[in-house]
Amino acid sequence: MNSENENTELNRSSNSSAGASQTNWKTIIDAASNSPTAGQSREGIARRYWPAIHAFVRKSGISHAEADDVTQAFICDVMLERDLLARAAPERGRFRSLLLTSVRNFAIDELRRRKSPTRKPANSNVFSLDDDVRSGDKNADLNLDEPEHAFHAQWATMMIDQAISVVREWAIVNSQEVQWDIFNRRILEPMRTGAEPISTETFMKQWSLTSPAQVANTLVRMKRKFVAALMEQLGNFDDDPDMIHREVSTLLQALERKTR
Amino acid sequence: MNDPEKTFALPFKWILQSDHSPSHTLVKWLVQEIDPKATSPIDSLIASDTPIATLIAYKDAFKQLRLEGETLDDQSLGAVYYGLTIASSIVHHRRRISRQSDRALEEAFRKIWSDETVDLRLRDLTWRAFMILRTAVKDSLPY
Repeated sequence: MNSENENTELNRSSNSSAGASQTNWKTIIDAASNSPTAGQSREGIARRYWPAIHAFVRKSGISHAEADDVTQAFICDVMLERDLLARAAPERGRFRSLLLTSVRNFAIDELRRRKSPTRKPANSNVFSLDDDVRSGDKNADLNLDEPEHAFHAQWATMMIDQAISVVREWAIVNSQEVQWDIFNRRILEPMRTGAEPISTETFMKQWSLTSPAQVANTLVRMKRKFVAALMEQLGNFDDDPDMIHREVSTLLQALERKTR
Repeated sequence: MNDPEKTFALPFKWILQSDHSPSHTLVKWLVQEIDPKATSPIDSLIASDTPIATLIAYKDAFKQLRLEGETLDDQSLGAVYYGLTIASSIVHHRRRISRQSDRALEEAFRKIWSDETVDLRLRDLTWRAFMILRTAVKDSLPY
């Protein structure tokens, strides 16, 4: 069930967070440039961060039906036209923080514009507020606590999804389908869907394993690979291991709050 | 594209359970995989009320880690915890869960006891197991 060679590829990639980081920032820098691949990079970034932006917009009080349009407006107007990507740089800190600040400002502007009849476009059907927001005091401070948590939680979800993809791909490439199946049905699926974890006995029977120790060791090894993959994803934006650990902690807290 | 409203049903707390080394984290996860209520490998092994069946399950898992661990550190720690689990069963249950001879066990316990990287409480456990074996009739402890 184990071979050092089988693990070489993931271990090598998980030990190269600096390289991965450069690659990811390269994508952002490329998207902000006039290079032939800039369009593709911009599309990739927009696709990647759509869920987190959408989660913020949705929790800001904008209806589900309109959230898609507002999210798209942010991506087109701010990320692309106002060159948000050009302002992003590794030395300026986390891309997540920059993006969150921009989304927050965009949402505040939009919500205030909606509350002000004189500033509302006469023919606007893109931005309309839900009743609760429309009926509020137009000078009241906007409570953006929930939207920010939704943004962080969705970001964490994205990172976890990507880490899962990396581990699944590793398992397939290295013929570790049994290990993947055990990890997926015992750990991942229950976490993602609330499904009942499959018992050790079921795995032993299904995969002709001779002892519960094999299942336990498979699970912990796959957990380690998953954590390495997750750290690598986060290392795309932070090279400092302590920062990455704090980032994981922040994101998981956001997820826990969301799942309560 | 991801579902923007997607969430997870359960938290991923275990991700943050990193210990002072990757191998120690692996051991901690292994113990918790076998006994979800376990707080730490050390607590489980020094507790007098850890059931013998749980210790046997630990022993099997650590044995496999010793043989098939991904790294040398994993294998070394697997070997240490394999011995510690046997020591725990001797100290707390007066039973041996290994077919190895008293001499082989004494040698293993002596090695762990003299390893200063091992937690003092666990080294004490091996010392007590060593003394029980020494004072018992040779190879008389029930399996």
